[in-house]
Amino acid sequence: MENILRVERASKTYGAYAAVNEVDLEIPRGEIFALLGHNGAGKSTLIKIILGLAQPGAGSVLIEGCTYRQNRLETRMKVGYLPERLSFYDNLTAWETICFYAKLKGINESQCEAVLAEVGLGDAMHKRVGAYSKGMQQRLGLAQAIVHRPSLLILDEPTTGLDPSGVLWLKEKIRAWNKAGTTIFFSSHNLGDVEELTHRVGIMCKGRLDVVGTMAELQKQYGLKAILRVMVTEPPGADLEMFVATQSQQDPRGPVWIREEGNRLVMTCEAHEKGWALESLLEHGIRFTDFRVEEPGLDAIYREVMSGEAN
Amino acid sequence: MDHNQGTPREPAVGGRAGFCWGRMLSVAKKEMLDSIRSRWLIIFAVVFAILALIISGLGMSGLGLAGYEGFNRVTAGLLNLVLYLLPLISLVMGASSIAGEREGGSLHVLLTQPIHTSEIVIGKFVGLSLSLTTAVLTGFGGAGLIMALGSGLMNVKDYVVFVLLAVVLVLVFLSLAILISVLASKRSQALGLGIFVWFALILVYDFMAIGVASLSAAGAVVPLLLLLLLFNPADMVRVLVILQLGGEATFGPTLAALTRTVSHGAGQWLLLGALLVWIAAPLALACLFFGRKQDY
Repeated sequence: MENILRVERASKTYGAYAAVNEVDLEIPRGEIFALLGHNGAGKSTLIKIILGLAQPGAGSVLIEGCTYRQNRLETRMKVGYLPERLSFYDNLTAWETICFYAKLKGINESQCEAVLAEVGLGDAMHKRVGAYSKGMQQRLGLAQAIVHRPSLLILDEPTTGLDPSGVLWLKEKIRAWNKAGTTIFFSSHNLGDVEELTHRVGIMCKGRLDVVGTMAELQKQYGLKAILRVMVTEPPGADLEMFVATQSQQDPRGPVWIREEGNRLVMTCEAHEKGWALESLLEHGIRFTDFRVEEPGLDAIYREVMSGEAN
Repeated sequence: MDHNQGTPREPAVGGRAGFCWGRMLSVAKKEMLDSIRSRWLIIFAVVFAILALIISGLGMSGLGLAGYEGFNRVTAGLLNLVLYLLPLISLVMGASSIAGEREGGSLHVLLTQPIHTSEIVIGKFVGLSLSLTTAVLTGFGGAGLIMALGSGLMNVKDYVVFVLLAVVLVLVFLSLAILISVLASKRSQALGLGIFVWFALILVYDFMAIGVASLSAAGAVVPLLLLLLLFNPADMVRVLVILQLGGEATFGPTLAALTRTVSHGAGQWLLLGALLVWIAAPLALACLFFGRKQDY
């Protein structure tokens, strides 16, 4: 698949401090990619390098095959950006603000009303931005980022300042924009949002971006397993004690069920072993009323990455 | 809806690659709208208008001086207002423009738009110039009306020249302020630098010039003062206004030679040329430094 964004061995140092250290990254067209990391891990500097706001000491950034050096203005037209720290011109209305950005991008003013309506500011477009709430400003920020319908949308902490309904609205919008063909690159501290929205995740640590992959790839890379909990019927239909005691003898390398209090069984296994595990219960005549699978989430992956870095 | 297709786009004015007047004027219009609605500019305009009205009202009525003499007295009073207040407000507004946007975060959004850094710098300069000029002309309008009522229309040309020189002073200090704003990393730093420049050029410079002149050989005083004059735009405006009003005598006998040098046509053109350099040079440097920044 064609890469919309390619970062090649990008580095940026401030004095002796390497904010971004030889980062390689490829984002295919149509992907939703999330960048994670502690504060100070280098996310903001990497985003600034991708946006052309910071000159990398080494390496390069290509957006749809173009560098900022080759054609700064055309490259900027491909990107929409919502910063984490958002500020507009307090004395301008939302309409005037969007018309200003549209004009710079060569977009007809007639598009502005539709864009403001799209982000839910249709009724407040003639109010001054200074009177806007944080959430409304965030929506205005999104409007300026999408007014030219960019191929790559970069959102830095996009849920900041949004109330819960705003967050839900934004997630829907991100999915819709992505479905319409826009590649989304966003940074976030909310692991739940990231897990829910993204195709791939990158975790930055100390300026390096060594951990990149889909959830399944990262679960496998870090050997994280699913937890399967089963509520066995009463009576269980077979001798649970015997089953638990003998199962490891049947396949010493396979995962084993452990009996918790009462008639509950629990197993830690690979994702592909869940079906086999449930089947093995039925084969041994153990019936169950309910089961629950706890997949290793992004929080577990993040913890693993960070504990690996600490060691 | 396909996001990446079919968005109507206006033809890019002047092309996308080079300096685009359309984009620069968009920044200027935005800057003017934003500043002209700001309460600080409105407060400045009101205070400036009130002070100008008081000076002109007192000058024309209270002292029993009508006609040309009264006009000169009022203009001299307004000149002091202009020389202190306009550089200060220009430096404060200009210095906080780019540095303020950087600190607030809106500069990052602006810089990710398809726009050249020079278009931003010049657009901001043009927008702020227009809003400050509007505020200054409003203040001078009322004062001019009172003076016209007191002395008739015989001094219209002198008054227009005086107002134009005041506008030039605004442009010079705005240009300096934009340069400061580009160089400073924070709004507070930019404001501090701006006030330092005001203090140095408006309050301290004349004492320093007099001190240097008093230590110089007699023959070198006039060329030295002329040279020092060229390095202070506020003093150049002061000299040009006084010459326009025919008040050369205020320079005193010691500076008669300096008066002769600057009062003839070439001397005045030299000062006007120097003022234009004072507008263009800081702005050009601001464009240069802003364009060469490695990190925004």
